[in-house]
Amino acid sequence: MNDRFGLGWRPELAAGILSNLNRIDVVEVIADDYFDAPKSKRRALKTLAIQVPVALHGVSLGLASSISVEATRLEQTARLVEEIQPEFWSEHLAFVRGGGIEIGHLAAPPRTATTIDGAARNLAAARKIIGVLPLVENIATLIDPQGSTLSEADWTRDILAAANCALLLDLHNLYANSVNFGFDPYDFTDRMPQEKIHAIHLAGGRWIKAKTTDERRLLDDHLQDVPEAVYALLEYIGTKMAHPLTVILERDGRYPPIGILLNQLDRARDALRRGRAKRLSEAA
Amino acid sequence: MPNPFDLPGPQFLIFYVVLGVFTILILWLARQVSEAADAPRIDYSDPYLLAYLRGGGPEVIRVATVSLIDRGLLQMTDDQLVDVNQSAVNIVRRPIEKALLQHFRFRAKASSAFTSPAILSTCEEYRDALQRLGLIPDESVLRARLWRLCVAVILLSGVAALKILIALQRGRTNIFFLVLLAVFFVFIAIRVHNPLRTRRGDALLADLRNLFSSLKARAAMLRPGGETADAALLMAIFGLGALPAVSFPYAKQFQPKSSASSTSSCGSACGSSCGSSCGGGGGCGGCGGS
Repeated sequence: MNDRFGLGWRPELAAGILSNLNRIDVVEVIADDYFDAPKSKRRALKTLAIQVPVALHGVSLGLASSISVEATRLEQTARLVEEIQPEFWSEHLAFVRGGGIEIGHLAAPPRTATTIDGAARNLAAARKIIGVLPLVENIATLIDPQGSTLSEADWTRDILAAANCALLLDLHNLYANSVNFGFDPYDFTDRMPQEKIHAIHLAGGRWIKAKTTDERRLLDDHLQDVPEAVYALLEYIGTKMAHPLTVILERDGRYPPIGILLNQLDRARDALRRGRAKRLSEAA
Repeated sequence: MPNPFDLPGPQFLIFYVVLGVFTILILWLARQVSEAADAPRIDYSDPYLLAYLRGGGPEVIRVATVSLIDRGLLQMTDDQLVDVNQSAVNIVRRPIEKALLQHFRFRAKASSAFTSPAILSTCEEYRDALQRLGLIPDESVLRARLWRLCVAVILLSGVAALKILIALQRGRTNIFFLVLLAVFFVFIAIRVHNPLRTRRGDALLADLRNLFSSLKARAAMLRPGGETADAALLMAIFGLGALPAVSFPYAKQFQPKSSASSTSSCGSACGSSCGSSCGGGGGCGGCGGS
């Protein structure tokens, strides 16, 4: 089983990542950081891709939208994919702009047939220009999108089917949504086509309180350690799937010493290994 | 097209300047083209490999010494160093660190490390590794560089000599500027023909500086103590000058003269007075390594 474990590439972690490549199989680079980057920065990324397998991760296409994704951004992604030859590229099932306004973050669209069609159309355009489909990632949201007619699981599954693409399952996004909106994350994973889950994101978050009520929400801020519940979900994934997975730990700030992140990667290895072992023993 | 050797003095000097610039440019371009390649995979867990790439053996010694002081394994008093933990030599992993701890098991001047055969021989391991990776020139690259230099020097000096001969035959003795120009261009050709790194090595170092630019920007937040590889990699890629003086006050004393502040001198801990013969490292203490 060739599961791979890696970290999100952040310049602040460069020394820690490069000096520990014996414990890191892959790094995930934010593609958008390189769209308008000078040649020297892109060449440095190419050099990084020679040192360690690289996956590209987009944050600004806005695939899950009835609005067409901008051709310019697809072309920029295509150029980068061509240059870097990543292991895979991925993007979020989110919308990020509307009416010419950039929202500035990943927003959850209404889960309807319209946004499924829009996402499928956008993914077809992405395949046409870039040549290869992205893995699509489920996002976290603090507000259940108004006007939704489908559950998140059904909506995600329908997009995977309509676009024939694979899933980057963000377990902390899934966990956060499940506690914020009261659904079972294990049931969510069961309803995904197992063979289409190719990669996993791990991260941490924190509880925030509403200003006017006692309600709390789990915010996926990527600034905290991975919670136990996410490792448990990863172990569960291991019990379900036979194919290799790429597991990426995301950390966007409040960087601890690299050893702590590597320990979290080791915990993820252990969790997935335990899940795999359970699956094998149950099969036997 | 007129025979350039028939040109009058001032016009010939202009022709010679163009020839000299063109020759230097070709020399440089030939190196760029023949030594370029994609970066190889290298071992980032050993910062001294990168230190050698940046500045040769002297930089390995500087970075390793400062790293050992940072980790509390060497203690510095004035310009002298001593191994404060005699068992540390069995704990450290890198041969250069072992060699430095052995060297300073009795108190000695910091600059003595730069002339210690045992220490210099550990630096040669890095040179060999980088040569195998095509990041610094090996024998074949050096031969090619020398061959191109010979062609350039023969061309520059030959053209100048022929013109001087013709001028003397024609009874003219105002050859001073041509001799000066010939010496100047030959000097420049010698200077540019054989840098420490190959084009591939230059490109890798530039890429690493790019990848680590954020680390350099937040260098002030680095904590001493050697808990992480951050400080060692920062020193290796950017030089000791990148370390924050507040947290690493002793590092300044090891900086090469060329990169230290104007108040430092060869009286610093790195001590040697061998000046500019130090390869890429430059400055103090670089006689032996590269």
